[in-house]
Amino acid sequence: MIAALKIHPFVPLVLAMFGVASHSMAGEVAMSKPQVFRTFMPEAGPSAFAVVLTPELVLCYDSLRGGVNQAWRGTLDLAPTLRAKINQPAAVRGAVFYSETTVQPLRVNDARKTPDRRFKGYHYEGDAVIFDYTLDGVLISETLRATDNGRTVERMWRIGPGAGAVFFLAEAQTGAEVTFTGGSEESPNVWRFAGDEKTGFSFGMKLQSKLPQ
Amino acid sequence: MKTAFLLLALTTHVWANTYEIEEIALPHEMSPELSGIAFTPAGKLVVVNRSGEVWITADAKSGAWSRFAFGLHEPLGVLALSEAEILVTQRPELTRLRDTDGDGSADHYETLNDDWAVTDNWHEFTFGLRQERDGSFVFSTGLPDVAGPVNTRFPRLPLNMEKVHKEMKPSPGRYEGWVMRVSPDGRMTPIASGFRAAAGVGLSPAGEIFFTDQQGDYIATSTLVHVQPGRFYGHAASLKWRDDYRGPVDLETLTKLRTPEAVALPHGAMGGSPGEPVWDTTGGKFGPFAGQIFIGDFTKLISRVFLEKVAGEYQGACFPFIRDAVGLAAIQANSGANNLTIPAGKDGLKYFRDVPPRTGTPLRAGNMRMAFAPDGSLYIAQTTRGWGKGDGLQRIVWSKKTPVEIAKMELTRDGFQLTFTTAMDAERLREAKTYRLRRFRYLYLPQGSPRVDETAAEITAMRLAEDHRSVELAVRDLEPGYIYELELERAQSADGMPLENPQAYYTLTRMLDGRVFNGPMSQPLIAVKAEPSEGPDLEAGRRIYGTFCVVCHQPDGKGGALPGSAAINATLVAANFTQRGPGSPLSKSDAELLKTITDGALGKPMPPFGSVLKPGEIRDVLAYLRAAFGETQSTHTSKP
Repeated sequence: MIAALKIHPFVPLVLAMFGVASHSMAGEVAMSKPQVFRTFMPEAGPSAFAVVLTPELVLCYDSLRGGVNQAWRGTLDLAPTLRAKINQPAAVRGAVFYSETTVQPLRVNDARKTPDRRFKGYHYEGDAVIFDYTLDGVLISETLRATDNGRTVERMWRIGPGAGAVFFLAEAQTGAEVTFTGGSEESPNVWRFAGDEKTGFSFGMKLQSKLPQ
Repeated sequence: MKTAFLLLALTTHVWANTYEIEEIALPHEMSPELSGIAFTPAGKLVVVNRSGEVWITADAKSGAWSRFAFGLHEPLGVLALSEAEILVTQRPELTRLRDTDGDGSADHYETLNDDWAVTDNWHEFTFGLRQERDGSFVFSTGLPDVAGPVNTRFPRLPLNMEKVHKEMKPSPGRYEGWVMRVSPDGRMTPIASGFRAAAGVGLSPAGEIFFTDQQGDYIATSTLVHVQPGRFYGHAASLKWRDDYRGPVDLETLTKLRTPEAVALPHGAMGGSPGEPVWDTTGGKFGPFAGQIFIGDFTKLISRVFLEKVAGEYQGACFPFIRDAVGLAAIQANSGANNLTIPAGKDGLKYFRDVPPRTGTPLRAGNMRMAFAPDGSLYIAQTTRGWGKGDGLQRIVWSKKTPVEIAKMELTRDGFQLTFTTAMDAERLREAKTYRLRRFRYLYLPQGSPRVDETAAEITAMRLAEDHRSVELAVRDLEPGYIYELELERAQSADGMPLENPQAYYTLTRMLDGRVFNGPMSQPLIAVKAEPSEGPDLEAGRRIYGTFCVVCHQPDGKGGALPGSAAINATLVAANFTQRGPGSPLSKSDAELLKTITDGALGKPMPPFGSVLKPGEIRDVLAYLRAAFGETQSTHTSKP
């Protein structure tokens, strides 16, 4: 649950730049919505996204590899990206509890085929940020939000018309408990989600940190 | 104290700013590295900064700004279609920002197009944004730099590391080094290739696309280019992304493919790295330059460009407009010294001109983005990250006083016609010694080029118009392929005011009959001279004299009552360097004169230049004084 207190939207960036969560300054978590920064991210494709879901729950969203590269409890340090003529990737300050490396783990109709992915943008909706893209021409909307008082990342996919089934190639995680909703594990770590090809369908995934606070 | 006051008053009078610079304070929570500027149709000011924010205000001077968007990847261009719909170029894409709930901040960040590849290299900028009449958007991509890493993880499009020729800046990602167009519905069309760091995009009032490109490899000096579909503008690297590219090419092929610039901006003299060109469409609200182009520069310079079509192609002249650089040391410290050292380097510094300080607020460095406000003032967004100091927002306001300037420099059959902003002193314009005309050119080479084939050009006749507002100059051996550098330091208006900017550079690519240069583009015609010997530089001294001394001591060195002194009810007399005999100014020893120039003359209107000029420059100007006006050897220099 994210507290609804309003703060100036610039503050989280400044705090993040210096690796300081806002609640440590103000005494309580104080973000009303997530914040997205497109920048140089470590071990990501060019111009990836840092998504600050809460001041202490951050993830790297890589629109080129295809999804959440890492999620960590901690902060985002943007200062290395802004300092000089030649800059460095942003720094992850905290404990990474979830990571993905598979290229385009979400597959359309065929789990073995890497789909063609086109990024379409993102938008804010309440306490969530929604990334839009197409996979082999099928429109996908992927919602990210923090739940469980900032310990869990909730991912929801809305699959547009054109796909009868999609697959997610999951990876073993040691720092997170990963749960899917709306599908079944067709083979080890290959999850299948099916729905109406004409109207589309939805499914979800939760990434809960198992790391100590 | 009294002398200081009089000097200040005198300086203010003589150099009265016809254009005033105003500082616009920014809120402390806004990063001042401003990298884009635009006005909404309703007249609200929109800026973007390199931290990735978009800010908007109804009145910049009120200090009341609101943040429209954030988290963008180093946006360097902005276009405000409304207060709820703003487009920006980020490094990886063209983005449409929309405020759908009316709360004043964008909630939708839509990728309008990203059909080019990026690698996270530091120099891989996406520059500018303009909208064409049909609603399409125009921007460019810069080339990466080998000094920084290239990210090959998960490329959006396959990378190609092959070299086209001998480029120092590669184009590993598709369409890096291109100018591109994106239709309103998001379809991209690559327009033209051959750009190095085309940092400034402009659209003429007629809707034609122009870009500035920045000096370096293949681009011997910075340029203003008229961009036409399918053409190649000189930097080899991006050629590989043309559909007809079949493999590495030689310099001869590149030379044949290359379309020359409309106007060369001579490195050093006309800055180091130009930004966005903006057309004066204010209808006279910004002074007497309607229809002309203003270009900001990374250095403390804004230049002005006059274009004309000759034999079907654009060419023309550039002029300094506002310069605030005092001494090379100041330029190096504050205005992107690095940019003046690669690769023409010291050549660029050699041609950088000192100018006296302006009264009032000085122009900062980093003038990369500009936009005219509805009231006709020119807003300047400034950023210098890593190349010097200077970030923020300034604006230039015309004081309604007509500046004494060369308004136009047009090509004629046998020379040039100069048109001034006001009636000029006819006697001065009829004198040959008023004019100093030289020509030079740059070579087309992978490593860039210094000036070559630099010679004096002889003016054989002057034809002055009856209204004394224009003069035609006949030039012996007028040839295409050269930049003609004109200095008019003796010219003054009919009421005695000096030209504010007495230099002009005409890029003569085509003669009126369409004739072009047909000599070698990569070799000089005149053998390069040996390095000059050590000792005072008379040419540097002449330039310094023309910049700092001529106002009081006059071009002929005779000094006399200072211009403008009558207006402040004082009699101020500048030394007469042509005077002879004991006690005359140049009868003094070098040491005495060096001290006077350095420290000023107590009780006289001679100000100290020790904080303005370096010791070597003071020696240069003294050498020039002796060579031009006096005894060539002091009789007092051999004292033990």
